[in-house]
Amino acid sequence: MSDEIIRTIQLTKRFRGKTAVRDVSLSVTRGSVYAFLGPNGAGKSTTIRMLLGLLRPDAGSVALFGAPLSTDRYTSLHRTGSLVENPSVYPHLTAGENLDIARRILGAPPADIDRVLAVVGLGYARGKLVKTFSLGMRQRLGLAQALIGKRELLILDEPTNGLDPAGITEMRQLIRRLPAEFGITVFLSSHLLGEVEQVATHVGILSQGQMVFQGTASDVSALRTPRLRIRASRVDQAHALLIAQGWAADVSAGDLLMTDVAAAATVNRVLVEAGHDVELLTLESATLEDVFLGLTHAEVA
Amino acid sequence: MPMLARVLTTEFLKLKRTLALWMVLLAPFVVVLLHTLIGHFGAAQVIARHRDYARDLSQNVTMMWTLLLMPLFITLETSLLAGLEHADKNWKNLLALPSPRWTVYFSKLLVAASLLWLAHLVLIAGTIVAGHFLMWEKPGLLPNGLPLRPIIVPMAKVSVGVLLALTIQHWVSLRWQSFTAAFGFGMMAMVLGFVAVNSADCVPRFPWSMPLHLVRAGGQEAWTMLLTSFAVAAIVAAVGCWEFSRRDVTN
Repeated sequence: MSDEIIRTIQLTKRFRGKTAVRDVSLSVTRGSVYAFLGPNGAGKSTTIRMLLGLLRPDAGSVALFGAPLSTDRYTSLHRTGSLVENPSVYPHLTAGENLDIARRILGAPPADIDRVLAVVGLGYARGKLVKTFSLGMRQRLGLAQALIGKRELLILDEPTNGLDPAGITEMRQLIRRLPAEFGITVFLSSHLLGEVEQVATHVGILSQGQMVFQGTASDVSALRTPRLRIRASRVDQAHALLIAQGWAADVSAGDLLMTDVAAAATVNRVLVEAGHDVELLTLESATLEDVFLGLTHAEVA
Repeated sequence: MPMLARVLTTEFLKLKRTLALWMVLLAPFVVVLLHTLIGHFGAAQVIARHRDYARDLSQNVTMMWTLLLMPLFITLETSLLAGLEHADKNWKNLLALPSPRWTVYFSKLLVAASLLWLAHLVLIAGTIVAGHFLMWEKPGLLPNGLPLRPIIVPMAKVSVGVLLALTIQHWVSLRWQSFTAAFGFGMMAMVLGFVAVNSADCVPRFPWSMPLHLVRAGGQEAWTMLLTSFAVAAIVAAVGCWEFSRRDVTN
Protein backbone atom coordinates (compact mmCIF):
# COMPACT_ATOMS: atom_id res chain seq x y z
CA MET A 1 0.00 0.00 0.00
CA SER A 2 1.32 3.42 -0.96
CA ASP A 3 2.29 5.65 1.93
CA GLU A 4 1.48 8.69 -0.14
CA ILE A 5 -2.07 9.68 0.76
CA ILE A 6 -2.26 12.88 -1.30
CA ARG A 7 -0.30 13.47 -4.44
CA THR A 8 -0.87 16.36 -6.78
CA ILE A 9 1.13 16.98 -9.91
CA GLN A 10 1.36 20.52 -11.29
CA LEU A 11 -2.15 21.38 -10.23
CA THR A 12 -3.39 24.56 -11.90
CA LYS A 13 -6.66 26.45 -11.67
CA ARG A 14 -7.69 29.64 -13.40
CA PHE A 15 -10.74 31.79 -12.78
CA ARG A 16 -11.72 34.07 -15.65
CA GLY A 17 -8.19 34.11 -16.99
CA LYS A 18 -6.59 34.78 -13.60
CA THR A 19 -4.41 31.97 -12.29
CA ALA A 20 -5.39 31.14 -8.70
CA VAL A 21 -3.17 28.06 -8.36
CA ARG A 22 -0.17 27.33 -10.55
CA ASP A 23 1.74 24.05 -10.85
CA VAL A 24 1.19 22.96 -7.26
CA SER A 25 2.75 19.58 -6.54
CA LEU A 26 1.96 18.22 -3.10
CA SER A 27 2.95 15.05 -1.36
CA VAL A 28 1.32 14.04 1.91
CA THR A 29 2.34 10.83 3.61
CA ARG A 30 0.29 8.53 5.82
CA GLY A 31 0.10 9.45 9.50
CA SER A 32 1.33 13.00 9.04
CA VAL A 33 -0.23 16.30 10.01
CA TYR A 34 0.47 18.42 6.96
CA ALA A 35 0.12 22.16 7.48
CA PHE A 36 -0.72 23.95 4.27
CA LEU A 37 0.21 27.55 4.88
CA GLY A 38 -0.17 30.75 2.98
CA PRO A 39 -1.52 34.26 3.32
CA ASN A 40 -5.17 34.92 2.53
CA GLY A 41 -5.77 34.66 -1.19
CA ALA A 42 -2.73 32.45 -1.77
CA GLY A 43 -4.85 29.68 -3.28
CA LYS A 44 -5.17 27.30 -0.31
CA SER A 45 -8.94 26.91 -0.48
CA THR A 46 -8.85 26.52 -4.25
CA THR A 47 -6.27 23.74 -3.88
CA ILE A 48 -8.36 22.05 -1.19
CA ARG A 49 -11.49 22.21 -3.33
CA MET A 50 -9.58 20.53 -6.13
CA LEU A 51 -8.43 17.82 -3.70
CA LEU A 52 -12.09 17.14 -2.91
CA GLY A 53 -13.32 17.23 -6.48
CA LEU A 54 -15.32 20.41 -5.89
CA LEU A 55 -13.31 22.28 -8.53
CA ARG A 56 -11.96 20.85 -11.76
CA PRO A 57 -8.27 21.58 -12.31
CA ASP A 58 -7.41 23.31 -15.57
CA ALA A 59 -4.17 21.35 -15.64
CA GLY A 60 -2.43 18.76 -13.51
CA SER A 61 -3.82 15.88 -11.52
CA VAL A 62 -4.88 14.82 -8.03
CA ALA A 63 -4.42 11.34 -6.62
CA LEU A 64 -5.79 10.28 -3.25
CA PHE A 65 -4.67 6.97 -1.75
CA GLY A 66 -2.69 6.29 -4.91
CA ALA A 67 -5.69 6.48 -7.25
CA PRO A 68 -6.55 9.39 -9.58
CA LEU A 69 -9.44 11.42 -8.20
CA SER A 70 -10.83 11.92 -11.69
CA THR A 71 -11.53 8.20 -12.06
CA ASP A 72 -11.79 7.00 -8.48
CA ARG A 73 -13.58 9.87 -6.77
CA TYR A 74 -16.22 7.76 -5.05
CA THR A 75 -13.81 5.37 -3.27
CA SER A 76 -11.36 8.14 -2.39
CA LEU A 77 -13.99 10.41 -0.86
CA HIS A 78 -15.34 7.48 1.13
CA ARG A 79 -12.03 7.50 3.00
CA THR A 80 -11.73 11.29 3.17
CA GLY A 81 -13.48 13.60 5.62
CA SER A 82 -13.45 17.32 5.06
CA LEU A 83 -14.24 20.60 6.69
CA VAL A 84 -14.02 23.41 4.16
CA GLU A 85 -13.90 26.92 5.62
CA ASN A 86 -16.91 27.48 7.87
CA PRO A 87 -18.82 24.35 8.83
CA SER A 88 -21.78 23.66 6.57
CA VAL A 89 -24.70 22.55 8.67
CA TYR A 90 -28.48 22.57 8.53
CA PRO A 91 -29.46 24.86 11.41
CA HIS A 92 -33.07 23.61 11.56
CA LEU A 93 -31.89 20.06 12.28
CA THR A 94 -30.38 18.67 15.47
CA ALA A 95 -26.71 17.75 15.74
CA GLY A 96 -27.66 14.07 15.49
CA GLU A 97 -29.80 14.64 12.39
CA ASN A 98 -27.02 16.63 10.73
CA LEU A 99 -24.62 13.76 11.29
CA ASP A 100 -27.24 11.27 10.14
CA ILE A 101 -27.13 12.84 6.67
CA ALA A 102 -23.43 12.08 6.22
CA ARG A 103 -23.86 8.70 7.94
CA ARG A 104 -26.59 7.56 5.56
CA ILE A 105 -24.61 8.57 2.48
CA LEU A 106 -21.50 6.84 3.80
CA GLY A 107 -23.46 3.76 4.82
CA ALA A 108 -21.98 3.93 8.33
CA PRO A 109 -23.75 2.29 11.30
CA PRO A 110 -26.09 4.48 13.43
CA ALA A 111 -23.80 4.05 16.45
CA ASP A 112 -21.20 6.12 14.62
CA ILE A 113 -23.11 9.28 15.46
CA ASP A 114 -22.57 8.85 19.18
CA ARG A 115 -18.95 7.82 18.61
CA VAL A 116 -17.99 10.98 16.68
CA LEU A 117 -20.01 13.25 18.96
CA ALA A 118 -18.02 11.84 21.88
CA VAL A 119 -14.74 12.41 20.04
CA VAL A 120 -15.48 16.11 19.55
CA GLY A 121 -17.05 16.52 22.99
CA LEU A 122 -20.60 17.18 21.81
CA GLY A 123 -22.22 14.04 23.17
CA TYR A 124 -24.55 16.11 25.33
CA ALA A 125 -25.85 18.11 22.34
CA ARG A 126 -27.08 15.33 20.07
CA GLY A 127 -30.74 16.34 20.32
CA LYS A 128 -30.18 20.11 20.25
CA LEU A 129 -31.04 22.21 17.22
CA VAL A 130 -27.90 23.45 15.51
CA LYS A 131 -29.30 26.97 15.22
CA THR A 132 -28.74 27.28 18.97
CA PHE A 133 -25.05 26.32 18.66
CA SER A 134 -22.12 28.70 19.10
CA LEU A 135 -19.57 28.95 16.29
CA GLY A 136 -17.18 26.74 18.25
CA MET A 137 -19.86 24.05 18.64
CA ARG A 138 -20.66 24.25 14.92
CA GLN A 139 -16.98 23.88 14.10
CA ARG A 140 -16.76 20.79 16.29
CA LEU A 141 -19.92 19.42 14.69
CA GLY A 142 -18.31 19.99 11.29
CA LEU A 143 -15.30 18.02 12.47
CA ALA A 144 -17.59 15.26 13.77
CA GLN A 145 -19.21 15.12 10.34
CA ALA A 146 -15.79 14.74 8.77
CA LEU A 147 -15.02 11.84 11.13
CA ILE A 148 -18.17 9.80 10.42
CA GLY A 149 -17.43 6.43 8.86
CA LYS A 150 -14.02 4.93 8.34
CA ARG A 151 -12.03 8.00 7.37
CA GLU A 152 -8.30 7.76 6.82
CA LEU A 153 -7.70 11.31 5.69
CA LEU A 154 -9.06 14.58 7.02
CA ILE A 155 -8.85 17.72 4.93
CA LEU A 156 -9.46 20.77 7.09
CA ASP A 157 -9.57 24.24 5.58
CA GLU A 158 -8.94 26.92 8.20
CA PRO A 159 -10.62 24.88 10.96
CA THR A 160 -10.01 27.52 13.61
CA ASN A 161 -11.50 30.40 11.65
CA GLY A 162 -13.65 32.54 13.90
CA LEU A 163 -12.92 30.55 17.05
CA ASP A 164 -11.98 32.22 20.33
CA PRO A 165 -8.63 31.31 21.96
CA ALA A 166 -10.23 28.53 24.01
CA GLY A 167 -11.86 27.12 20.89
CA ILE A 168 -8.55 27.25 19.02
CA THR A 169 -6.84 25.33 21.81
CA GLU A 170 -9.61 22.72 21.82
CA MET A 171 -9.45 22.29 18.05
CA ARG A 172 -5.67 22.01 18.16
CA GLN A 173 -5.86 19.30 20.81
CA LEU A 174 -8.43 17.42 18.75
CA ILE A 175 -6.29 17.58 15.62
CA ARG A 176 -3.25 16.41 17.53
CA ARG A 177 -5.14 13.31 18.75
CA LEU A 178 -6.32 12.20 15.31
CA PRO A 179 -3.18 10.56 13.87
CA ALA A 180 -2.19 8.89 17.12
CA GLU A 181 -5.59 7.66 18.31
CA PHE A 182 -7.42 7.08 15.06
CA GLY A 183 -4.66 6.60 12.50
CA ILE A 184 -5.97 9.52 10.47
CA THR A 185 -3.74 11.62 8.24
CA VAL A 186 -4.52 15.32 8.54
CA PHE A 187 -4.15 17.94 5.83
CA LEU A 188 -4.70 21.30 7.44
CA SER A 189 -4.70 24.75 5.90
CA SER A 190 -4.16 27.86 7.94
CA HIS A 191 -2.75 31.32 7.96
CA LEU A 192 -2.28 31.21 11.74
CA LEU A 193 1.31 30.07 11.87
CA GLY A 194 1.82 29.72 15.58
CA GLU A 195 -1.08 27.34 15.79
CA VAL A 196 0.04 24.85 13.15
CA GLU A 197 3.62 25.01 14.41
CA GLN A 198 2.47 23.03 17.42
CA VAL A 199 0.72 20.23 15.56
CA ALA A 200 2.35 19.89 12.13
CA THR A 201 4.79 17.19 11.16
CA HIS A 202 5.04 18.50 7.61
CA VAL A 203 4.66 21.96 6.14
CA GLY A 204 3.85 23.28 2.68
CA ILE A 205 3.85 27.00 2.01
CA LEU A 206 1.85 28.53 -0.81
CA SER A 207 2.36 32.06 -2.08
CA GLN A 208 0.45 33.68 -4.91
CA GLY A 209 -0.76 30.29 -6.06
CA GLN A 210 2.65 28.64 -6.10
CA MET A 211 4.38 26.30 -3.66
CA VAL A 212 7.41 28.05 -2.23
CA PHE A 213 8.33 25.45 0.38
CA GLN A 214 7.51 21.87 1.19
CA GLY A 215 9.21 19.75 3.81
CA THR A 216 9.11 18.35 7.31
CA ALA A 217 8.73 20.45 10.42
CA SER A 218 12.45 19.94 11.09
CA ASP A 219 13.25 21.26 7.61
CA VAL A 220 11.42 24.40 8.63
CA SER A 221 13.40 24.57 11.87
CA ALA A 222 16.59 24.45 9.82
CA LEU A 223 15.43 27.60 8.05
CA ARG A 224 15.07 29.34 11.36
CA THR A 225 18.65 30.63 11.57
CA PRO A 226 19.68 32.08 14.93
CA ARG A 227 20.44 35.79 15.08
CA LEU A 228 21.62 38.42 17.44
CA ARG A 229 19.32 41.22 18.53
CA ILE A 230 21.00 44.32 19.91
CA ARG A 231 19.27 47.38 21.36
CA ALA A 232 21.75 50.21 21.47
CA SER A 233 21.54 53.99 21.78
CA ARG A 234 21.88 56.04 18.60
CA VAL A 235 21.01 53.03 16.52
CA ASP A 236 21.86 54.53 13.13
CA GLN A 237 25.39 55.43 14.25
CA ALA A 238 25.76 52.02 15.87
CA HIS A 239 24.64 50.37 12.65
CA ALA A 240 27.17 52.38 10.63
CA LEU A 241 29.90 51.45 13.08
CA LEU A 242 29.17 47.72 12.78
CA ILE A 243 29.13 47.93 8.99
CA ALA A 244 32.44 49.82 9.07
CA GLN A 245 33.89 47.02 11.21
CA GLY A 246 32.92 44.53 8.48
CA TRP A 247 29.84 42.91 10.07
CA ALA A 248 26.57 42.37 8.28
CA ALA A 249 23.80 44.01 10.28
CA ASP A 250 20.26 45.24 9.69
CA VAL A 251 18.01 47.59 11.57
CA SER A 252 14.55 46.27 12.37
CA ALA A 253 12.01 47.88 14.68
CA GLY A 254 14.75 50.04 16.26
CA ASP A 255 17.02 47.08 16.97
CA LEU A 256 20.15 45.83 15.24
CA LEU A 257 19.96 42.30 13.86
CA MET A 258 23.04 40.25 13.04
CA THR A 259 23.48 36.69 11.87
CA ASP A 260 27.09 36.38 13.09
CA VAL A 261 26.11 35.16 16.55
CA ALA A 262 29.68 34.18 17.47
CA ALA A 263 30.63 37.84 17.46
CA ALA A 264 28.31 38.78 20.33
CA ALA A 265 31.00 39.63 22.88
CA THR A 266 33.16 41.54 20.40
CA VAL A 267 30.22 43.54 19.09
CA ASN A 268 29.21 44.46 22.62
CA ARG A 269 32.74 45.67 23.42
CA VAL A 270 33.04 47.69 20.18
CA LEU A 271 29.72 49.41 20.78
CA VAL A 272 30.47 50.23 24.44
CA GLU A 273 33.94 51.51 23.61
CA ALA A 274 32.37 53.76 20.96
CA GLY A 275 30.13 55.29 23.64
CA HIS A 276 26.87 53.47 22.86
CA ASP A 277 24.65 52.22 25.67
CA VAL A 278 23.79 48.58 25.02
CA GLU A 279 20.43 47.95 26.66
CA LEU A 280 19.82 44.49 25.22
CA LEU A 281 21.89 41.84 23.54
CA THR A 282 20.16 38.55 22.99
CA LEU A 283 20.36 35.45 20.85
CA GLU A 284 17.07 34.59 19.17
CA SER A 285 15.75 32.17 16.62
CA ALA A 286 13.76 33.34 13.60
CA THR A 287 10.12 32.51 14.20
CA LEU A 288 8.12 30.40 11.79
CA GLU A 289 6.41 33.64 10.94
CA ASP A 290 9.74 35.15 9.85
CA VAL A 291 10.39 32.11 7.69
CA PHE A 292 6.89 32.31 6.31
CA LEU A 293 7.12 36.01 5.56
CA GLY A 294 10.52 35.56 4.00
CA LEU A 295 9.23 32.84 1.71
CA THR A 296 6.01 34.51 0.76
CA HIS A 297 7.57 37.99 0.37
CA ALA A 298 4.76 39.41 2.45
CA GLU A 299 5.18 42.94 3.60
CA VAL A 300 5.74 43.55 7.28
CA ALA A 301 3.46 46.26 8.49
CA MET B 1 -29.26 0.34 -0.30
CA PRO B 2 -28.53 1.97 -3.67
CA MET B 3 -26.90 5.39 -3.45
CA LEU B 4 -29.88 7.20 -5.00
CA ALA B 5 -32.14 5.79 -2.29
CA ARG B 6 -29.67 6.77 0.44
CA VAL B 7 -29.42 10.34 -0.82
CA LEU B 8 -33.18 10.45 -1.24
CA THR B 9 -33.71 9.56 2.43
CA THR B 10 -31.36 12.38 3.44
CA GLU B 11 -33.32 14.84 1.32
CA PHE B 12 -36.53 13.89 3.11
CA LEU B 13 -34.72 14.16 6.45
CA LYS B 14 -33.68 17.71 5.58
CA LEU B 15 -37.36 18.69 5.20
CA LYS B 16 -37.94 18.22 8.91
CA ARG B 17 -39.12 21.43 10.60
CA THR B 18 -39.36 23.25 7.26
CA LEU B 19 -42.44 24.69 5.57
CA ALA B 20 -42.27 22.08 2.79
CA LEU B 21 -44.93 19.76 4.17
CA TRP B 22 -47.08 22.63 5.38
CA MET B 23 -47.13 23.98 1.83
CA VAL B 24 -48.39 20.60 0.61
CA LEU B 25 -51.43 21.13 2.83
CA LEU B 26 -51.73 24.88 2.61
CA ALA B 27 -51.66 25.44 -1.17
CA PRO B 28 -54.51 23.01 -1.99
CA PHE B 29 -56.39 24.18 1.11
CA VAL B 30 -56.47 27.76 -0.20
CA VAL B 31 -58.03 26.60 -3.49
CA VAL B 32 -60.55 24.31 -1.82
CA LEU B 33 -61.53 26.90 0.79
CA LEU B 34 -62.08 29.57 -1.83
CA HIS B 35 -64.36 27.38 -3.91
CA THR B 36 -66.21 26.15 -0.86
CA LEU B 37 -66.93 29.78 0.03
CA ILE B 38 -67.96 30.54 -3.57
CA GLY B 39 -70.32 27.53 -3.45
CA HIS B 40 -71.66 28.60 -0.09
CA PHE B 41 -72.34 32.23 -0.97
CA GLY B 42 -73.38 31.61 -4.58
CA ALA B 43 -75.60 28.63 -3.85
CA ALA B 44 -78.88 30.52 -4.19
CA GLN B 45 -78.01 31.77 -7.69
CA VAL B 46 -76.75 28.37 -8.85
CA ILE B 47 -79.87 26.61 -7.59
CA ALA B 48 -82.16 29.25 -9.09
CA ARG B 49 -80.57 28.72 -12.51
CA HIS B 50 -80.89 24.93 -12.15
CA ARG B 51 -77.13 24.53 -12.68
CA ASP B 52 -75.08 21.68 -11.29
CA TYR B 53 -72.26 23.03 -9.16
CA ALA B 54 -70.28 19.77 -9.42
CA ARG B 55 -68.93 20.71 -12.85
CA ASP B 56 -68.12 24.29 -11.78
CA LEU B 57 -66.37 23.01 -8.69
CA SER B 58 -64.04 20.60 -10.48
CA GLN B 59 -63.33 22.99 -13.38
CA ASN B 60 -62.67 26.04 -11.23
CA VAL B 61 -60.53 24.14 -8.76
CA THR B 62 -58.47 22.73 -11.63
CA MET B 63 -58.07 26.11 -13.32
CA MET B 64 -57.14 28.03 -10.21
CA TRP B 65 -54.71 25.34 -9.13
CA THR B 66 -53.09 24.91 -12.51
CA LEU B 67 -52.63 28.56 -13.38
CA LEU B 68 -52.02 30.15 -10.00
CA LEU B 69 -51.28 27.99 -6.99
CA MET B 70 -49.34 25.20 -8.67
CA PRO B 71 -46.74 27.49 -10.34
CA LEU B 72 -46.36 29.27 -7.02
CA PHE B 73 -46.07 25.91 -5.28
CA ILE B 74 -43.33 24.55 -7.56
CA THR B 75 -41.43 27.84 -7.35
CA LEU B 76 -41.49 27.84 -3.55
CA GLU B 77 -40.83 24.12 -3.08
CA THR B 78 -37.89 23.96 -5.49
CA SER B 79 -36.47 27.18 -4.03
CA LEU B 80 -36.80 25.76 -0.55
CA LEU B 81 -35.04 22.52 -1.51
CA ALA B 82 -32.21 24.36 -3.23
CA GLY B 83 -32.12 26.99 -0.49
CA LEU B 84 -31.28 24.32 2.09
CA GLU B 85 -27.89 24.03 0.38
CA HIS B 86 -27.46 27.62 -0.81
CA ALA B 87 -28.22 29.13 2.61
CA ASP B 88 -25.26 27.91 4.66
CA LYS B 89 -23.04 27.23 1.65
CA ASN B 90 -23.73 23.55 2.16
CA TRP B 91 -22.88 22.51 -1.39
CA LYS B 92 -19.19 22.18 -0.58
CA ASN B 93 -20.02 19.83 2.25
CA LEU B 94 -22.69 17.84 0.45
CA LEU B 95 -20.74 17.41 -2.78
CA ALA B 96 -17.56 16.40 -0.96
CA LEU B 97 -19.41 13.33 0.32
CA PRO B 98 -18.95 10.14 -1.67
CA SER B 99 -22.15 10.24 -3.68
CA PRO B 100 -22.31 10.90 -7.41
CA ARG B 101 -23.62 14.38 -8.13
CA TRP B 102 -26.42 13.05 -10.29
CA THR B 103 -27.91 11.34 -7.22
CA VAL B 104 -28.10 14.70 -5.46
CA TYR B 105 -29.68 16.36 -8.50
CA PHE B 106 -32.29 13.67 -9.05
CA SER B 107 -33.02 13.19 -5.35
CA LYS B 108 -33.98 16.83 -5.05
CA LEU B 109 -36.06 16.58 -8.22
CA LEU B 110 -37.80 13.45 -6.93
CA VAL B 111 -38.53 15.10 -3.60
CA ALA B 112 -40.00 18.14 -5.38
CA ALA B 113 -42.11 15.88 -7.61
CA SER B 114 -43.25 13.82 -4.61
CA LEU B 115 -44.36 16.92 -2.75
CA LEU B 116 -46.18 18.15 -5.84
CA TRP B 117 -47.98 14.84 -6.33
CA LEU B 118 -48.84 14.78 -2.65
CA ALA B 119 -50.34 18.25 -3.03
CA HIS B 120 -52.45 16.95 -5.93
CA LEU B 121 -53.74 14.13 -3.72
CA VAL B 122 -54.56 16.63 -0.99
CA LEU B 123 -56.35 18.79 -3.56
CA ILE B 124 -58.41 15.84 -4.85
CA ALA B 125 -59.29 14.79 -1.31
CA GLY B 126 -60.06 18.39 -0.34
CA THR B 127 -62.31 18.92 -3.36
CA ILE B 128 -64.26 15.75 -2.55
CA VAL B 129 -64.65 16.77 1.09
CA ALA B 130 -65.73 20.27 0.02
CA GLY B 131 -68.28 18.83 -2.41
CA HIS B 132 -69.80 16.62 0.27
CA PHE B 133 -69.84 19.49 2.72
CA LEU B 134 -71.71 21.67 0.20
CA MET B 135 -74.16 18.83 -0.57
CA TRP B 136 -74.92 18.61 3.13
CA GLU B 137 -74.96 22.32 3.79
CA LYS B 138 -76.76 23.49 0.61
CA PRO B 139 -79.07 20.76 -0.57
CA GLY B 140 -79.86 21.32 -4.25
CA LEU B 141 -76.43 22.70 -5.10
CA LEU B 142 -75.21 19.31 -6.32
CA PRO B 143 -78.46 17.55 -7.30
CA ASN B 144 -76.72 14.66 -9.06
CA GLY B 145 -74.18 14.05 -6.33
CA LEU B 146 -70.44 14.49 -6.75
CA PRO B 147 -68.94 12.45 -9.60
CA LEU B 148 -65.30 11.65 -8.84
CA ARG B 149 -64.02 11.19 -12.38
CA PRO B 150 -64.21 14.93 -13.36
CA ILE B 151 -62.16 15.69 -10.24
CA ILE B 152 -59.56 12.92 -10.43
CA VAL B 153 -58.81 12.67 -14.17
CA PRO B 154 -57.91 16.35 -14.76
CA MET B 155 -55.72 16.34 -11.66
CA ALA B 156 -53.95 13.20 -12.81
CA LYS B 157 -53.26 14.83 -16.19
CA VAL B 158 -52.02 18.02 -14.56
CA SER B 159 -49.74 16.11 -12.20
CA VAL B 160 -47.91 14.60 -15.18
CA GLY B 161 -48.15 17.61 -17.48
CA VAL B 162 -46.48 19.85 -14.91
CA LEU B 163 -43.27 17.80 -14.88
CA LEU B 164 -41.71 19.89 -17.63
CA ALA B 165 -42.26 23.14 -15.72
CA LEU B 166 -41.01 21.43 -12.57
CA THR B 167 -37.74 20.24 -14.14
CA ILE B 168 -37.08 23.72 -15.56
CA GLN B 169 -37.82 25.44 -12.25
CA HIS B 170 -35.73 22.84 -10.38
CA TRP B 171 -32.69 23.55 -12.57
CA VAL B 172 -33.13 27.33 -12.19
CA SER B 173 -33.35 27.01 -8.39
CA LEU B 174 -30.19 24.93 -8.19
CA ARG B 175 -28.31 27.00 -10.74
CA TRP B 176 -28.59 30.41 -9.08
CA GLN B 177 -27.89 30.94 -5.43
CA SER B 178 -30.26 33.86 -5.15
CA PHE B 179 -33.79 33.07 -4.05
CA THR B 180 -34.88 36.21 -5.87
CA ALA B 181 -33.65 34.81 -9.20
CA ALA B 182 -35.57 31.55 -8.77
CA PHE B 183 -38.68 33.26 -7.42
CA GLY B 184 -38.58 35.95 -10.11
CA PHE B 185 -38.25 33.31 -12.80
CA GLY B 186 -41.16 31.34 -11.37
CA MET B 187 -43.40 34.39 -11.11
CA MET B 188 -42.54 35.50 -14.63
CA ALA B 189 -43.35 32.02 -15.91
CA MET B 190 -46.66 32.10 -14.04
CA VAL B 191 -47.64 35.44 -15.58
CA LEU B 192 -46.63 34.24 -19.04
CA GLY B 193 -48.77 31.16 -18.37
CA PHE B 194 -51.77 33.45 -17.88
CA VAL B 195 -51.00 35.16 -21.17
CA ALA B 196 -50.38 31.88 -23.00
CA VAL B 197 -53.77 30.51 -21.99
CA ASN B 198 -55.38 33.08 -24.27
CA SER B 199 -53.32 32.05 -27.27
CA ALA B 200 -54.32 28.87 -29.08
CA ASP B 201 -50.77 28.58 -30.44
CA CYS B 202 -48.95 29.09 -27.16
CA VAL B 203 -51.13 27.26 -24.68
CA PRO B 204 -50.09 23.72 -25.65
CA ARG B 205 -46.42 24.66 -26.00
CA PHE B 206 -45.63 26.80 -22.98
CA PRO B 207 -44.72 24.51 -20.04
CA TRP B 208 -46.68 26.56 -17.50
CA SER B 209 -49.92 26.66 -19.52
CA MET B 210 -49.65 23.21 -21.08
CA PRO B 211 -51.12 21.34 -18.05
CA LEU B 212 -54.35 23.34 -18.41
CA HIS B 213 -54.54 22.60 -22.12
CA LEU B 214 -53.96 18.96 -21.29
CA VAL B 215 -57.05 19.00 -19.09
CA ARG B 216 -59.15 20.21 -22.01
CA ALA B 217 -57.57 17.87 -24.55
CA GLY B 218 -58.77 14.34 -24.93
CA GLY B 219 -57.90 11.08 -26.60
CA GLN B 220 -54.89 10.96 -28.88
CA GLU B 221 -54.02 14.63 -28.45
CA ALA B 222 -53.80 14.27 -24.68
CA TRP B 223 -51.57 11.22 -24.93
CA THR B 224 -49.29 12.90 -27.45
CA MET B 225 -48.98 15.97 -25.25
CA LEU B 226 -48.32 13.87 -22.16
CA LEU B 227 -45.62 11.83 -23.84
CA THR B 228 -44.03 14.89 -25.47
CA SER B 229 -43.92 16.85 -22.23
CA PHE B 230 -42.54 13.83 -20.40
CA ALA B 231 -39.82 13.36 -23.01
CA VAL B 232 -38.87 17.05 -23.01
CA ALA B 233 -38.87 17.02 -19.19
CA ALA B 234 -36.48 14.05 -19.27
CA ILE B 235 -34.18 15.93 -21.65
CA VAL B 236 -34.26 19.09 -19.50
CA ALA B 237 -33.51 17.01 -16.40
CA ALA B 238 -30.62 15.27 -18.14
CA VAL B 239 -29.12 18.55 -19.38
CA GLY B 240 -29.58 20.18 -15.95
CA CYS B 241 -27.96 17.20 -14.27
CA TRP B 242 -25.04 17.28 -16.71
CA GLU B 243 -24.48 20.98 -16.00
CA PHE B 244 -24.81 20.41 -12.24
CA SER B 245 -22.32 17.54 -12.32
CA ARG B 246 -19.68 19.61 -14.08
CA ARG B 247 -20.17 22.77 -12.07
CA ASP B 248 -17.33 24.18 -9.98
CA VAL B 249 -18.33 24.60 -6.34
CA THR B 250 -16.90 27.99 -5.48
CA ASN B 251 -18.94 28.93 -2.42
